[in-house]
Amino acid sequence: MDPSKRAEMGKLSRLWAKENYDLELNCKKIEEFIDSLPLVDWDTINLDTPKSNPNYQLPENFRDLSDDSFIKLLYKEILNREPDDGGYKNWSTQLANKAPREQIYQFFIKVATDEGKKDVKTDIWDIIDKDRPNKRGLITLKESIGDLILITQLFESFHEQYPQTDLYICCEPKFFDIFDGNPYVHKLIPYQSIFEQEMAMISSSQDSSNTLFHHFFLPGIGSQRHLNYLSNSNPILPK
Amino acid sequence: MKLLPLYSLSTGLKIGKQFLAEKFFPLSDDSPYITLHASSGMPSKNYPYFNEVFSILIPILSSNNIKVYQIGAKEDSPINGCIHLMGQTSLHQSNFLLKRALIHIGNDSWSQHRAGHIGVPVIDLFGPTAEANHSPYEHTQNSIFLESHRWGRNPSFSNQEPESTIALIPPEEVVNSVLKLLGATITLPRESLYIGPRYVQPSLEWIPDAVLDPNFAPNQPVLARLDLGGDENNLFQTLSARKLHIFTKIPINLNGLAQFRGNVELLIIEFTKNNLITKEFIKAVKSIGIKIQCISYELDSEELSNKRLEFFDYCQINKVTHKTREDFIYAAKRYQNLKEWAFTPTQSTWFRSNKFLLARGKIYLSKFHYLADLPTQDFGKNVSQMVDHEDFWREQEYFYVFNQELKT
Repeated sequence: MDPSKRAEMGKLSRLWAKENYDLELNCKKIEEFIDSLPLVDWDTINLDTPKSNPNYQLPENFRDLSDDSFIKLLYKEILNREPDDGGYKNWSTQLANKAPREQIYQFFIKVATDEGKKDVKTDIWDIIDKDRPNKRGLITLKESIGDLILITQLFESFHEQYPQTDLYICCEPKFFDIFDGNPYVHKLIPYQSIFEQEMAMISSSQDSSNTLFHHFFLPGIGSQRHLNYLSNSNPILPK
Repeated sequence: MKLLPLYSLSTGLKIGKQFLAEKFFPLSDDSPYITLHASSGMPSKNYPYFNEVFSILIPILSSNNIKVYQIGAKEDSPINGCIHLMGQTSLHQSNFLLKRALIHIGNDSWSQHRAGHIGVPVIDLFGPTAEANHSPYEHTQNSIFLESHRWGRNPSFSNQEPESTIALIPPEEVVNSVLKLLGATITLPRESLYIGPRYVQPSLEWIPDAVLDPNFAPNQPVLARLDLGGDENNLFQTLSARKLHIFTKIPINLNGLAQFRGNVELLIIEFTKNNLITKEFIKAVKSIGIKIQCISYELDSEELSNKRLEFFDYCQINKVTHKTREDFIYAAKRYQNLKEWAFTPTQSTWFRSNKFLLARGKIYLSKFHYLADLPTQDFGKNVSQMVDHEDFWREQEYFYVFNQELKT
């Protein structure tokens, strides 16, 4: 490009950047935006997440309701809140485009169900069979299918080394079928990160029955968390 | 160290018998079979050329009454010629199938650990993982582990690789491993020289010199090559019935584009030295709502710089380059992991194309073959002798090049 033309274009570019990205200009825009927001009294506002209701049943006359009333009903009764602008607009458009009301209702139920799952807090003491006289052992390995099949090769040895001990396996529920019919497994536990915390798992009192797990194994720590088994300073070059 | 000894070491528990329940799965007959598991927990572990492998093996296996059952998840890509059981068997039914297989073939996945343990010979392929760590702890003596050369590097253990390492295993090594395990006396006398990164995905191009049959490969993306010829009437008639990508060097009738805009997936516009594309055309196409991509092969840096300034408010023009013979030699050396390689194509050097150009009512394997009017008979006949020509090299990324004694 001709140097004079390049200089001219450079000047224009700088001017354009200044007009559009000037710091003062942008700060002013942000200030105006903040000032335009409605005043919120944070001392009285309730910050608790409202509980959703995945069991809500539609009234018999739901087809007779206007689109506006139907949307507000779903938000209020299932999600326990007022519709937000984006959500309201989206569902209004969908209804205007003849989306089936049952389908929209099912979507809200799914959202409420998923929200409910997030709220579930598992008490570990409810999962274990604490009334059994046996001791308890836990192997936690979150995933995956190949690794979980491999660790079944350790179960026989577990029962030889720890007789009268119930073996619990903690992994992702989608892998539970790997252990179907396995005579060594007492119970399967859906994976949560707490089941990888050794201190929490073996916490005990002097009364042995109050010990959560008497034996705890985390085989994946050396393969899925720390990968030093791969080389131990010896490169694994292809043959 | 392999995984199982590691688990044993970290738990202090001895290694014993593996336990996995088995459930009956009804098969249509008692023919002997081999199992294929073409997927795994990581995309980078999946071998991309099983279709190539089984296109060679299936006729040999069929003549010996040996079937191939493909197991895995329902979303796995089906491999041609296999009996597809993906998503149809539970874990325990897959286990049933594995136990009765002559051989099990696949990537580094659970089925290898299981087949190895129950004494089924395995052919196990490794790219981003290593035989040293991830092969089955137990396996028959004749099991075969094929590991990518990875240019001599350690495995990446990565879910996604910028350059697939498992793709560096030549298809003939997999074919010959199967033949060896089956006790065959024949081998595939092939030497893979290069497989382009786009070879694995079939590609269809069409010159609009006639209307394209709307029932032809309706779900396959087709690129209309207006730059190579044809006319707009055929283009718009075809657009009325199917979706197309369009490549052009000249403006196209805007009314036609607007009428069928829903079927225009992408409009690729090439800027040339004798450029006919105008700012008004780009602006109008964008206002219709058609996605565009602007490129230039021909313009040098000065011309491109000026053109970019001129079109600054309308589109971004990307510089692209044609692949050359030198690019091929460099890529082939990388594929074969050779520092030096004297490329001397012979009568036995062939290429297989997964790119088809439809024009004059015929099928061509490349632009070179179109320009020389050397069509192929059908889509199944996609092997031809390699050509040492500039136009051929431009499309090298779509080709698989190999040496083999073949009948012409």
